Amino acid sequence: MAIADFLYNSDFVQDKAILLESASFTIPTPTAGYTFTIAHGLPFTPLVGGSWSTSSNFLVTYDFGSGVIPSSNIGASIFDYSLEIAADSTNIYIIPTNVSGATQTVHVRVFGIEPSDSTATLPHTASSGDVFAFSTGYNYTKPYEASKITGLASSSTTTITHSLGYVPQLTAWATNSARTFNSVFFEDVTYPIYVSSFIGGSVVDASVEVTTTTAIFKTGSSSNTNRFDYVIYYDRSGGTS
Amino acid sequence: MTTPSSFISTSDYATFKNDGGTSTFVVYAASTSVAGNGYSVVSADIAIGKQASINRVQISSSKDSSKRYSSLSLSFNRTGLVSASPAGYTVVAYVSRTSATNLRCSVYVPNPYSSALTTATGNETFTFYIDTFLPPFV
Repeated sequence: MAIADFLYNSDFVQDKAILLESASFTIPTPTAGYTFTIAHGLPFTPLVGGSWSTSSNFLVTYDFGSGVIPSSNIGASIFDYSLEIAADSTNIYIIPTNVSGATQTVHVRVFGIEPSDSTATLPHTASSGDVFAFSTGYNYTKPYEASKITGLASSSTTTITHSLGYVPQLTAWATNSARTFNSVFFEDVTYPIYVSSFIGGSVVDASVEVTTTTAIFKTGSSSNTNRFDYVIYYDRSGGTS
Repeated sequence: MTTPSSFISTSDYATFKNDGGTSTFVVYAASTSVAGNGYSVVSADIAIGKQASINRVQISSSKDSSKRYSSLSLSFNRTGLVSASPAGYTVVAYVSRTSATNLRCSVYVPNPYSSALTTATGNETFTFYIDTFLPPFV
């Protein structure tokens, strides 16, 4: 059997969340300059991700980088509210966009992954016996390669080859001089549609392409991204492709 | 206190449960007319994932189907016509939840011009490859 066909395989590492945080806050209107900050207390910049909701029970859950689709006309934004997430060596930053004209209370759940160059010792994030860490009812994606690309300039292309023969799942984070962002990528775009200038006046002008043999990391002409962190998985993208 | 990177697996660190995976597509029709300063949007809804699941998404366009972009949203520059003259515009492909278990895949074309925009020739199919995960909180 191929590695990707196993739900779990003890010969391969697992994703390990080394940081878990929850918070609630109200998005002001307008949102210009507003950022909700959470101190993470880690000795490195975590690779952050997570989800958010307008309800405390997370009935409808949104990814960071996504948002609430307007119930009627789309105006200046494809979302009424959206949240982006980033981190630096000290804090996690939740960056809202709100074009609805009204304040909105949101609830966020944040996880952090250890970057590939970390050798830190860390406290546990799960208590054995309290919850099931593994269940055969689910697949556990199996990292094929976790690494980083550093020293990037604008308009750069870096190709990482893999030998999987199919398009794998991949997650990536882009870092500029200030913060590490979770997977906000634009390609061939001359202006951002809904992401405002949240990185010191510049958007994350970068992209990641995945093929059956490569992962291609690009920075755009206006990009100040200088580092990518990424995880390529043995698991196929889209369930079966 | 341990070094997480030294473990192949350990139940002492929370992980992510992959509870679904599928693909779907949205066709943006050739030569669509978009009103001046208006927009056009085409969507497909799919049922995937459990409540509170998060998404790992790749998106591709039939105009360069060899590439899949790892992103929840993606913008492409295209050239159409405004008053019979070539005019650049942007196509945005993106996903968002509309309910606990429903995911909407959309293609959005805003018209930045005051006159009607006729989009590019040839249907463009956007394929969304989606894998869903229950995060450690669930």
